[in-house]
Amino acid sequence: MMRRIRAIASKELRHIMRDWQTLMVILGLPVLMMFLYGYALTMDLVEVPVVIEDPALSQESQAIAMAIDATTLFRVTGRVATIADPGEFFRKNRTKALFRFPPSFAQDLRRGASGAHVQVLIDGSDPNTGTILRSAVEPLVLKAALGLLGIRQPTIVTVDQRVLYNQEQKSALYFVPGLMAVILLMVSAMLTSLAITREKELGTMEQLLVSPLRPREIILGKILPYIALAAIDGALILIVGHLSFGVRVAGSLTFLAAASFVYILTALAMGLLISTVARNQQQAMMIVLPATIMPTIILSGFIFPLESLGWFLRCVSGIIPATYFLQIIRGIILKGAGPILLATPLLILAGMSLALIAVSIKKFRVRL
Amino acid sequence: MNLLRLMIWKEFAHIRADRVSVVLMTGPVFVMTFLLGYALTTEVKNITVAAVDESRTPESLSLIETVRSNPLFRWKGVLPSAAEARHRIDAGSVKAALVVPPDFSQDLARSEGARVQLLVDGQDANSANVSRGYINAIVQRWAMQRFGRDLEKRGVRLASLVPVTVSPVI
Repeated sequence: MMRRIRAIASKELRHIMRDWQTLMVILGLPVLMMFLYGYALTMDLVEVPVVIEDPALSQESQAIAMAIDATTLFRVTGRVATIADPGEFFRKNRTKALFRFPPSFAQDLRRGASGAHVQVLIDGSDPNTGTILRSAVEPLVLKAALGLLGIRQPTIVTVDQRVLYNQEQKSALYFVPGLMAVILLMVSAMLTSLAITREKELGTMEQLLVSPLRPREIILGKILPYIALAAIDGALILIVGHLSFGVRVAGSLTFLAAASFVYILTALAMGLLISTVARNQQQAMMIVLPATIMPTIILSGFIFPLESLGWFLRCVSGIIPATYFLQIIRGIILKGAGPILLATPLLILAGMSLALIAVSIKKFRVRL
Repeated sequence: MNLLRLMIWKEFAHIRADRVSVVLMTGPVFVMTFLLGYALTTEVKNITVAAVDESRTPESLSLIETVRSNPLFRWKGVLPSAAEARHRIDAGSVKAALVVPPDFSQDLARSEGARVQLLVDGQDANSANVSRGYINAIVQRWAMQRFGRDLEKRGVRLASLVPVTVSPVI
């Protein structure tokens, strides 16, 4: 049995090596994607450009403007007397916020009881930036105004922020491990389904089936080379990620390899399942993309944070294997977590893997 | 020209005859538009937040209550210890934890002020950034309100000094 599996595997390997263009894509794609996503930096919010609208140019308003400029968060890029249409102003300028002082600001401030008003308009086109700016402006202006009135606001509470795991806050450290989930899926699910449907398309599958080979020997032999390819890709991502982005595996490499192996098996089973449905390579491709790769990229937490999804999409993301693999692999690489902490996603992934393998083998038999 | 038109017409007929590819061409457009338009967002919300109250005073309760009632968070409760908070963050069930130290209330009156610790899961730099900025702002706002009440006792109304109107525009 081993000998026959090896024969099929070496035949498949020859197919792969012969098609060197595909091979280049398989090995080049992870590196390319890593550079695309790795440099998709999260911007630290510093020196956000803001504009002050101040018709009166009073001492008081200017003092507050200076206080705004003095923070690391804001930088005053301009002062204007009046703005007729703020919406138009935001569209034309790169400013993120507009502080509007009324003409009577100085008098209002001195009068005290009725109070002075400052209106702050914030560019909300990026909700995350908007949220941070919005929460920062009120204490800032209030503090500056109190200073003008001679009331020094004491430091009441300081928040010591301790960022765990990804101390330098580099987004590449988050994306590169995530990329493993996508690349391993592509290599395993897509290539396996293509390899099997190709045999069907060419009519050679029938030849294999009438040979003394048993179906499970054919399947095993055909998927073994792809397990190896996926492993090479995974290693490639880790090595390039380490050399160019400083990704370090905090946890155990053995555990990482074992978890990846379970995920690769899951993806292979998906590919196998698709190849039992698809009649030719084109169909296989058409099913693989929307059924496995697209959901993995957009709904597994690879790009969009899972917490922000609505309940329905959360349910969908719950049936995608990559959702759990991402938790596991980010846990190992970034947190250095072991099997005990990651028990839940591990068990779910293993369960999915077993179920998919069982179903795909069964379907493969039925079809024969 | 006529031949070209016929060719184009023939190609359309081919496409129309192939039901599967028509569906595959139009289906993803609707699905993706719907998904990207309504559901998918990089906006950080529903961050899971917990607190540790080592102080157990009206002040610490009030601070924690302020954080708890914020709609941006999913509240995970008050945990017994900082170690437990760290464990929850390791396990991934909590993304940020606010630890109020035992001497919080006494320190509030001191000139250097009190300190609280914020533990943040920093894996996703973007989400960590937003939660840090936001929680810090909430705490500062709480401090400002407290300061305002102190001023009020001395006859100065903070709220009437500079009420800032914040209105986000796109």
